Amino acid sequence: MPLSIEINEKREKAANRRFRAFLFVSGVVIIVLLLLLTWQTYRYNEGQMETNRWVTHTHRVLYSSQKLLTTIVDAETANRGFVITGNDTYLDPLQRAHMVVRGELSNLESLTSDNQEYRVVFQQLRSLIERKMAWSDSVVQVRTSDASVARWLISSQYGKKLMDSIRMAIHGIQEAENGLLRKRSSASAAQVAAFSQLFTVTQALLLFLVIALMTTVLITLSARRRASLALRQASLEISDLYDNAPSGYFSVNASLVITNINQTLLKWLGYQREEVVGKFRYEDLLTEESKKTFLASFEKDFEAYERNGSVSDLEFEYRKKDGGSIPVMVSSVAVLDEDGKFIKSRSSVADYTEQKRAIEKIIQLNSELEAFTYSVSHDLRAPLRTITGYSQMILEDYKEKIDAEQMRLVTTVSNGARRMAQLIDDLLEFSRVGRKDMQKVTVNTNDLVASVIHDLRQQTNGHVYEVAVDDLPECRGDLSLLRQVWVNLLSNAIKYSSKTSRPSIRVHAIQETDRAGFCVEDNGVGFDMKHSQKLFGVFQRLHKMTDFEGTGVGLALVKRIIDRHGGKIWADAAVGQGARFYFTLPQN
Amino acid sequence: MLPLDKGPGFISRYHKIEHMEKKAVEILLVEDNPDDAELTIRSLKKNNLANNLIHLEDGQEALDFLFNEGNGNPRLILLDIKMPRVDGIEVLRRLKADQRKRTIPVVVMTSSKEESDIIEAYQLGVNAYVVKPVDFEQFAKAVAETGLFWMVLNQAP
Repeated sequence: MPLSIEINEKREKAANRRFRAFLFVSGVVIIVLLLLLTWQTYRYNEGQMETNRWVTHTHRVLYSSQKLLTTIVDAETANRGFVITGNDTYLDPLQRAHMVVRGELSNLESLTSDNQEYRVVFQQLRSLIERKMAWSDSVVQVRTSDASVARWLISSQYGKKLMDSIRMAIHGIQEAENGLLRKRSSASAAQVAAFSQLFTVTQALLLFLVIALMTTVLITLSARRRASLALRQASLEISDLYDNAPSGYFSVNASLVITNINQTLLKWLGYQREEVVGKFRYEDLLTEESKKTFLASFEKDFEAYERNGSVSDLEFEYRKKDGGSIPVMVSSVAVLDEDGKFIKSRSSVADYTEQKRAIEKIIQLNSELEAFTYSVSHDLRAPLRTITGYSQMILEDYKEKIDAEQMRLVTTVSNGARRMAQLIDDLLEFSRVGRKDMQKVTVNTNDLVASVIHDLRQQTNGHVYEVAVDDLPECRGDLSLLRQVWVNLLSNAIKYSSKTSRPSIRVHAIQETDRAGFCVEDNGVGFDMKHSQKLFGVFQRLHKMTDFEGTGVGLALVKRIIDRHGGKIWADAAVGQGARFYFTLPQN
Repeated sequence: MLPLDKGPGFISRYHKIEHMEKKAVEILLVEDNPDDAELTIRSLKKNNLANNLIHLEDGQEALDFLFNEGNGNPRLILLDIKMPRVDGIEVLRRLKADQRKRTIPVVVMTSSKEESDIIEAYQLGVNAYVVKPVDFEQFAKAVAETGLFWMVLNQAP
C-alpha cells in the first residue's frame, strides 16, 4: 500500500516537472520570438525612416533645383523686360530674383555637400549662374546708357547659351536625384517585402506556439480537474468508511494529542469532533481508574509499542461526556519515521461491553464453581471418613462379638464409602483439569513415558506384563497434565490386559502432519466399537465393575486434557482383540 | 477404650478437664468435626501419643487457648482448615506472626487437596500439610506417622 502510493507520487512529480518544463520552454521561446520581432520591427522602422529621409532629401534637392531654375528664368524675364521697356520697375524683381538665386544656390550646395559626385557639377553650375548674373547686370548697366547696345547684347545669344547650360546642369542634377530616388524606392520596397515575410513567419510561429501552449494547459487543467474529482470522490469514500465503520478509530501524535477521531467513537463517547481533536490527550479519554493503570506502565508499554510497531487488545475504560463509561479493547499500529521514532498511531477501538459482561459472568460462574468444588473437596469427604473409620472401629473393637456375615456387611458399607470417595476425588480432578492454568513447555515424551512406566511398575508390583516403547517425538504442553494423560492411558492398558495370558503393551509414534502423534496399544479385552461414542464421557464405562474396577473418569480426563492442548484423541478396538488409543498434540 | 455412647463432645471435654491443670499440653488438636477428632485421637492413642492432648473445636477457641499466657506452648498443633468462626489458615497466620508462638510446629490436617490451600499454608510457614485419606486404615497410618515424627523424631527448638 505505501509502496504504490510512493510510485504514484513519483509519477505525479515527474508529470508535474514535465509540465513545468514545457511551460517554461514555451514561455522562453515566445519571449525570444517577441523580442526578435520587436528588434526586426525596430530595424525595419529605422530603415524606413532612413529611406524616407533620403526621399525627402531628394525631393528637397529637386524642389530647390527647380526653384533655382524658375528663379533664374524669372530673373531673365525681368532682365528682358527692362531691356525692352527701360522701365525701372523690372529692376527690383531682378535684384530680388538674384538674391533668391544666391540663397537657393547656397541651399542646394548644403543639400548636396555630402555627395562628392555633385561637387564638380555644382561648381560648374555655380560658375554658370555667377556668369549669367554678371552678364545680366552688365546688360542692365548697358541698357541704362544705351538701349540698342543692350538689345544687341541680348541678341548676341550669349545669355541664351549660358541659360541653356544652366538648364542642362540643373537637369543633370535632377536626373541624378531622380535616379537615386528610384534606386532608394526599390531598396525600400525590398526591405518592406523582406520584413513582411519575416513578420508573417514569426507571427505564424508565435500563433502556433500560443495555441499549443493553451491546448496543453487546458488539457492538463482538465486532467487535473478530473483527477482531483476522482481524488475527492475516493477521499469521500475513505472518510465515510473511516467515520461510519462499526468500530472506533483515532490517531494520536508523538505528544499523545488526539489528531483524528471517527464519528463512531465520538458517538460512543458523546463528544463533537472539535471538542476532542487537538485538545484531548489520550489519557483524557480514560476514566480515573483506567488512567491510573495506563500511566503507571506507560513508559514501558510505549517502548514496546515503538519497538514492535504495534500493540493489540489493550483493555481500557473510556469516559463518556455524560460521565458514564464504556469498556473498550484497543489495538494500534504505529507510524514510525526512518529512525524508528513514533510519529503517530493508527488505533482501532472495539466496544467491549458485551464481552466484558460475558467475561465477568464467566469469572463469577468460575468463582462459584471454585467455591462449590472447594466445599465438595472439604465437606463431602469427611462423612465418608466417618463411615470407613467407624466401620473399622466396629471391626476392631467388636471382632469377638460379630460373625462373618456381620463383618461382610460392615465391610461392604466401608467399601461403598471408599468408592464414593474415589468418585469424588476423580470428579474434583476432572474439574481441576478443566480450570488449571496451563504452563506450556517442551516435553521430552521418551523421558516422560519412561518415568510413568517406572512408577506404574512399582504400583503394579507382582503383576507381569510387557511394555515396548518406540522412539517418540517431542511435543509441547503442560507437563503435569500430559503426565496424567500417559498415566491414565498406560494404566488402562495394564488394567484391561491384565486378564490376558501374556499381557503386552506397545507405545509408538504415528505419522501426523504438523503435530506429534502417539498410539498406546494393548492386547487386552478391547471393546465393541459400537459403544465408542461413550468412551470419553464422564462416568461412562464399557466394562462391568466386577470385571474391572474404575469410576469412568480416566478417559474423560484424558480427552479434556488433549482438547485443552488443541489435540485430538480417538480409539480403535474390537472385543477380545485389544485396544489402540491414538492422540495428537502440538509439536514443539 | 472410649465408650461411644457418651456423644461426640465427650472427648474434648474429657481431655480438657483431665489434663489442663496437671501437665503442659503436648498436642493441641483443632478440629471441628467430632468424628474426625475421635478417629484422630484414637490413632494417636494407639501409639501412646495422646496423653497430654487437648482438643478444641474451632479457630477462635484455639487462639483463645494459645494466647492465654497460663497455658504455655504445646509441642505440636494439629490444625484443620475449614472450621466455623475462625479458620485454620487464620490461626496459622496469627501464630506465625507472633514471636513466641511461631516456633510451635503446626501440621495442617485437612480433607482438602485444594492447591490454593496448600500454597497459602506453606506461604504462611506451615511445618507440614497432610491430606486426610478417606480410608480409615490409611488415615490412621497418616495420623500415627505424623504424631510419631513430630513428637518423637523431630527435635524442636
